[in-house]
This record gives sequence, structure tokens and C-alpha cells, in this order.
Amino acid sequence: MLSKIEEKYLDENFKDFIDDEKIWKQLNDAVNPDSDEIRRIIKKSEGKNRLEPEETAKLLQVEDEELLEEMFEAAGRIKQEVYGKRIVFFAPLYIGNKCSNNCLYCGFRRDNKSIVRKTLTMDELKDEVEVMELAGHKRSILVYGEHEDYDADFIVETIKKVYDTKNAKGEIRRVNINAAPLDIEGYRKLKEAGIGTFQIFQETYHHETYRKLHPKGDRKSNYAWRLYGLDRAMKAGIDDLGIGALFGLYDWKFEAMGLLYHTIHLEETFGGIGPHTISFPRIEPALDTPFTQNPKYRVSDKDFKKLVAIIRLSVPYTGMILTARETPEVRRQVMPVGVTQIDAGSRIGVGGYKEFASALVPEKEQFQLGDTRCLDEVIREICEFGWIPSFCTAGYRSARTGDCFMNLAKPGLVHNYCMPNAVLTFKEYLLDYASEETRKVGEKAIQNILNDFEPSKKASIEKKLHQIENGGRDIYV
Amino acid sequence: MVEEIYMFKNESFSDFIEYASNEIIKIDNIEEAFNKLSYIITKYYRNSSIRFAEKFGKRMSYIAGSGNKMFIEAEKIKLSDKYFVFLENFTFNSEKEKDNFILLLKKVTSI
Repeated sequence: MLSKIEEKYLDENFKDFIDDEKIWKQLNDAVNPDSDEIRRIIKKSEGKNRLEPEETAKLLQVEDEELLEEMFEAAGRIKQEVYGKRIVFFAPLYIGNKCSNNCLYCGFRRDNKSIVRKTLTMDELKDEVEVMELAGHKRSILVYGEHEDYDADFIVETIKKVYDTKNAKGEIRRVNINAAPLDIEGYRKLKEAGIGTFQIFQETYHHETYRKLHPKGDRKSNYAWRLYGLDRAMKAGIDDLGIGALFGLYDWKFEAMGLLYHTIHLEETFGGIGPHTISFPRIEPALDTPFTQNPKYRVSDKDFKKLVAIIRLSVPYTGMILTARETPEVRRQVMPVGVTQIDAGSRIGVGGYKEFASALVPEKEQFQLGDTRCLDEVIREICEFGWIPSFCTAGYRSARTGDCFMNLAKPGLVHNYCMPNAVLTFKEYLLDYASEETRKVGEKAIQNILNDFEPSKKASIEKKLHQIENGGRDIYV
Repeated sequence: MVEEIYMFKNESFSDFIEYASNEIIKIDNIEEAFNKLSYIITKYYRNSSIRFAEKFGKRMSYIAGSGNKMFIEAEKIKLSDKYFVFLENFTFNSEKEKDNFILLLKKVTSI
């Protein structure tokens, strides 16, 4: 059973923290920003300070190419200073595509008869996880439609199954969840099961657009229940939260402001603990979903890069997720301006990992993927960029969650854990899963990165690398 | 201010244990007790870092902590089925000292 929506959110006069008019005023007031002011704002970001909405609005209105270039460079530097030269890899795992909502933009919407409805059985889930593990994945995000079959108890069962499934040296060490908002009791059950991050995308922060795209009467039509979904998660003790918006539903600058306001709301409500990650998927074509074919608010590749850099500058210390919705070309352009996590080798059809033979299993997919390269290929490319692919899951198993994580990320210290753990988990990948070609490139990348560490740190990591070479696994700091 | 009122008489381990025990006995909330204890401990064990966590499956959910992070591997110690502590850069003068130290931490889990 899905939980009942709280009364207060059903009140038409309920006032939430997104003020559409105010956001538009801030954006309009920020047109033609002064270049000195923009440079001051960039400097503030480089000090790892979260920006105020008026400042982000000014960045969003920058059109000058030279200033934009400065913003891109600063965003890249900030990411590197906070998280290091590493990119975390994860893989989505679609558990079920049943949905009781009829969101106009979604391939899984209730009335889409072209989609084959499917929910993995526990045996099928095990099969899926084993395939992911054989590719080398250690982190996964489980994705569910919003349907009464997918209540907290069901989600808990799937989490446990994923954690319990081991294949040779493979195991999923961190399970994140993307599901419909729950009540506090539901979140508590998920916490008990040991989840990583709970992620909810607001889709659009613009109230009127939200109303238009989410038909009245559907559970998802309640904007506030969704908006405060992560507040309830926090109250239940889940202190790693993921926010996001689906870009292309409304004006991208407005949505960027919405993400910032959501961040500020969480930080102000929960003693400085804001989102662990921010996601910014762009709408992609979906089977028999006309809305997705030519959306009015489609974000161009140029604006997308600007958007990603501005999110990084606005919230310098938060993880940022770029998914395989985007093409390899776009990912190459956008990763350097602040991204911390990507997926690769992803299958977004229910049962897609086992069934996969071609790039698409469209009749069970929510949308189309832009980057269908295998994990090994993407890993190799990351190494060629001079970064280290990471499968690190140490933080949430070492009590670096919530407040502790924020206290490391906000001053830009978290790279002191991220980089050693990236090297150690990548070494595991190279030994257990990489192709010969990737192994060569990867070993070279590790050697190069080791030279960036100060001698005692380098020696300590090398010692651990030897342990891994001698068969040790899951070694981290 | 806690910082101003407490100091261990002669910085001996027994004074530290006595002081910490007396302080935590006044507290009936485990989170607060871990918080207080973290602070006291990192005053005694300088240049160390401590964090307490509650276990949920694989997840070690942070409860409280203190000290300067050394960015080194932490020693993970089980205090009860539910609670764990992570110690970074602790130097104990003897095994007995470490045992007594852990005993102090375990006391809190019975709150």
C-alpha cells in the first residue's frame, strides 16, 4: 500500500518554498550582468561558498563568450579541488515500470499501451545484478515506477536481494533508490535496509507547468508532496539525498533556480545538510510519447554545458550526476565543468541487463539512451582524460554520511578520501574486469595519479595496492 | 561553555575516564552522549578524529563525531549490534588503556 498524502499538502493554499514570481523577477533583474560582478561571483564559488539566488540568476544571464569560458574553467577547477580527478561510476537498475500516473512526458505513463509492463521477480532481479557485477559495477541506483506494487516493503525486499547477490568477486556495495516519495515510516524501512542515497526529481519546479504535465487526480499531481519528499526522508534519518529536475519541461534557467532553492531549503531546514547529489537529465524521446518528440523548452547542447557549470558554481560542494541519456560527445563536453558521477554500460529496460543484445529494448524503456558504450570503453576514455574512474562506496560504510560528509565536502576536503579510494577501487576493476587495452591505459593512469600524492600518502596507497594485487578486495580509507 | 569548564586534572588517563564517565552519566540521550564524548575524547587524544555511527545493513549512518580528519584508514570498532565507532590516528599507551577506552564507549550504548 502506498502511503496517504498528508492533509496539509492537499490544501490549495499551501505555500511551499518555490516562489515562481520571485524567481522570474530575480532572473529578469539579472539580465545583462556586469562582468566585474560575474567575476566576483565566480571568486565566491571558488571559495567553496554556495551562491545566493540573485547571484546564480546573474550567472544564468551571462552571454559573453569570454565570461562563459571563465565560468567553465572555474567550475572544472572547483570540482577538482573538492572531489579530485575522479569520476564515480554507477549503473541504474530498473525494477518495475508499472505506473499509476499519466505524466505527459514519460514513457512509463499509465496510458502508454506501447510499453510492455514488467516487474522483476526476485530471481530475475538476481540475474540482473549478476550481469551488472560481471561488468564490474559496485554501485547501483534502483528505479521504480509509482505504483501500489512498489511500496516501501517491496523496495526493501529488492534492496536486500541486490545486497545479497554476489557473483565471483562481484558485489553491489551501495544501493541508491529513485522511487516515488514515501511517508516517514516508509523511509525508515528503507533506512533499516541500508540504502545509500534516496533520490527524487521534482521534474519541474514551475507550479503551473507541473499542474499541466501531471494530470489532476494522479498521485504525482501533488506538487508539494513531492517537493517535501526529501524532508520526510531526512526526518526518517536518511541523510544522503538526491535532487533533480527534468530539463526540457520548462525554462532551464527557472529550473536551475529551483534546484538552488531546493538546496537552500534543505540546508536551512536540516542544519546545513543539503543534497548529496544534484541531477539534471534532459528530456529524451520515449516510445509513443509525443511530448518528448519536440518539447518547447528543449535545452540546447550549448545551454546544457552552461547549466552544468552554473550548478557547480552555485553549489560547489555537492555531487553532480550526468547520465548516459546524453551522447558521448555531449558527455565529453560537459564532464569537465563539474560532473562527479556518471553511469555507463547502462540498461534502462526492465530486465535489460540480461536481455541486452542490441542498444535498445524500447518496449520496456522509459526513454532512449544517448551513450550506449560499454563500461570498459567509457572507463578507458576517462583514463585518457587524465582522471581516475572510481567505484568507491567507502563513505557511507565509514560513517561519512549527512553532516559528516557535508563537513568534508563544504571546505573541499573530501578529495582526501575520494582520490585514494578511487585508485583502490579502480585497481580492483582493472584486475577483475578490464579488457587488456583498458588495463594498460588504467595502470598508466594510476601511476600518473600516484605522483600527485605527497610521499607518505603515496606510500600508504601503494601498500594497499599491493594488498589488492595479492587478492585483497574492498580495501579503502 | 564546555570548553572552559573541563580539563583533566593532570591529563592522566584515569582522570580522563573519570571525567568522561561523570559527564555522560548525566545524559539520557544517546546522540547527545556521543556528541559530548566525541568532544571530550578529542580533547584528550590530540590530533585524533572520532565518529560514532549506527549500523543499518551496509550503511554506517553518522551520529556524532569530533576532531581533525587525518584522511587515513579508520579503525572500526563494534560497540554493540547497532553502534560502531571509527577512530583515526589514536595512539594508546597500552592494550589495557585501549580496552578501558572502549569500555567507556560501550557504556554509552546502554543509554
